[in-house]
Parts: sequence; structure tokens; C-alpha cells
Amino acid sequence: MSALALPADVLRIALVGNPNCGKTAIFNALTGSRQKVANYPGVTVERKTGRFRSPGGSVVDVVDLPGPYSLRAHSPDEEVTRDVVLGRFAHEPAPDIVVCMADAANLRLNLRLALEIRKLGRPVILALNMMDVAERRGWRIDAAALSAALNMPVVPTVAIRRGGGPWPDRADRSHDGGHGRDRHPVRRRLRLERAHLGRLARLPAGSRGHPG
Amino acid sequence: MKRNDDSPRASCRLDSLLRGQQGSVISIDVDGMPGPLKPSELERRLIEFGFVEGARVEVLHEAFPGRDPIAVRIDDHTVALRRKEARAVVIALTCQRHSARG
Repeated sequence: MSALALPADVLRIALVGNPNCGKTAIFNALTGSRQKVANYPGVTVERKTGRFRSPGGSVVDVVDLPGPYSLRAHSPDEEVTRDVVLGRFAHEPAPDIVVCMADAANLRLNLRLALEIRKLGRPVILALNMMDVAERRGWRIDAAALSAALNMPVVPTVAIRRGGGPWPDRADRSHDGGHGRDRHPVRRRLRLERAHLGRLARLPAGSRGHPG
Repeated sequence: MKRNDDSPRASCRLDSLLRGQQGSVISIDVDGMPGPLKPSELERRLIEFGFVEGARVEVLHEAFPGRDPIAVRIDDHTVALRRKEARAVVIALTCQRHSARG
């Protein structure tokens, strides 16, 4: 796919986060893709792209990147992540927004990478994924305080596994009225994520073209 | 003097932790560590993996043969480490389980 052919109003976002924080799950939810999600490290070894339309009408291209522990790139897959985020990838400009995904149930580790990403000076959104897991473990995360402390938008998300998690089939059926065929818990949840991301995507829109 | 259950009982290195034993990280000491990585690089990587002061650690698995590498849970995630590099992590033993299975 050539970046040159993209219309100018396409918003480009990159998903970055520690291994196993749910980047691919969110990617699938956003784009309707069925990329394999597996619970072992190194599953995402190259960048994957997808596209969706946000509730606000913008076309958003999403890049799903291998999960690094840091941007210092210890391995080839981590180099892909670093280069895409920094805009060093040939024929591909730096993303308009870096969505830093964090496992809300393991914030200490994940915030370290978030701080490293923040240092790049790119527009960053922090997505606190697996909020349901964090809550089950008794964590209460003050997203507004975190957002103020980090000086970046913070959005709680849940990208759940197929048929599992807090949206059992019964609950799903009882809520699918307005959403037609979307009885699938993941797709249903996706809609929520799209709404989240649409909101996210509008936030820093004014800063697009922000000097890196 | 009576110790409460949370107080550290002894310090040791992560490479000598037995499966099922738990500890918390005191420090990282890379002095004299053999291996392909420069000591400063090893230290940074261990920190990036989450080996920071106070992190709870437990050895979950040991590979066969040679019991190397090892899988270590750090707080709520798991990494694999070469045993000789795990030696750089200084920990305080906090709990010894009777069974290796949790």
C-alpha cells in the first residue's frame, strides 16, 4: 500500500505497547480484522495495517506493531516498531497519533514504555486496556488523574476474547437491539472501541502536522 | 524479635530461586556478569522487563535440559531469562510455597 495514494484527510494511528497488552485485540476490534491473537510473546512480528471510519466520519488507518519492552530495539521486530513510530520507515510518514496501549492490570511496567513514547514528542493517547481485569483484581485507576499527570489523553478500553469476559451471550443478546447483526461480543465491543477511538481521534486532530 | 510475614528473610540472586519460591526485587547488580550483553545494557533490559525495586518475582518454569532458561513472573507478567543473566537480580525471599504449583 502506497502512502502517497492516501487521501490527505486519512488519520494515521499506530498501536504501540508492551507485549501482551492487547494491541492486536484492539486492532481487530477497530478494523474488523481477524488477525490471530495468541497469548505468547512475539506473535506480531511485522506491522499490520487496517482501516476504519470513525463515528466522526474520518477515515483512520491503523498500524499494529510488534510489542516492544522499549524503543531501544533489542530485536528485529522491535526495530520495526521503533522505525514506524519515528517515521523512519521508507515510504511511510510518521503516524499522526501514537496510541500507547497499556495493560491496566500491569501499569507499572506499561507506564515505563508510555513515558519513553511520550519523550518522542509525537501526539500520544494512552489506552488503558484490560480495565475489566484490573477491576477484578481490585485496582481502581483514576484515568483523569493519570491523564493530568502524564499530560496526554487517557482512555480506558476492554478488548475481550471471543465468547469470554464480562459480556456473555445472554447479556449480548439483550443489548444488541440497535446494532442489528452484531451479537458477537467482540464485534459489539468493537463498536464501543470505535466510539472511544473516534473520540480519541478527534482530540488531537488540531495537532496533526505537529512537528515531530 | 518477631518478624511479620512480609519482612524479607534473606537476600539471594534470582538464578538461585527455586520453582515456587517468591521474592521481591532489592536491586540489580551487573558487576562481573558474563554473557553477550554489556553490563549496562543488561541492567537496562532487566529494568525494562520490570525488574524494579519492590517488584514481586517467582520462578514459574525451568527449561529442560539444564534448567535454563527460566520463566519468571514479575508482578503480573512473565518473561524468560537466561539463568546467568537472572543472576544480576538481587531479591529478598518473601515466601516459600510448599508446592511448586500455585
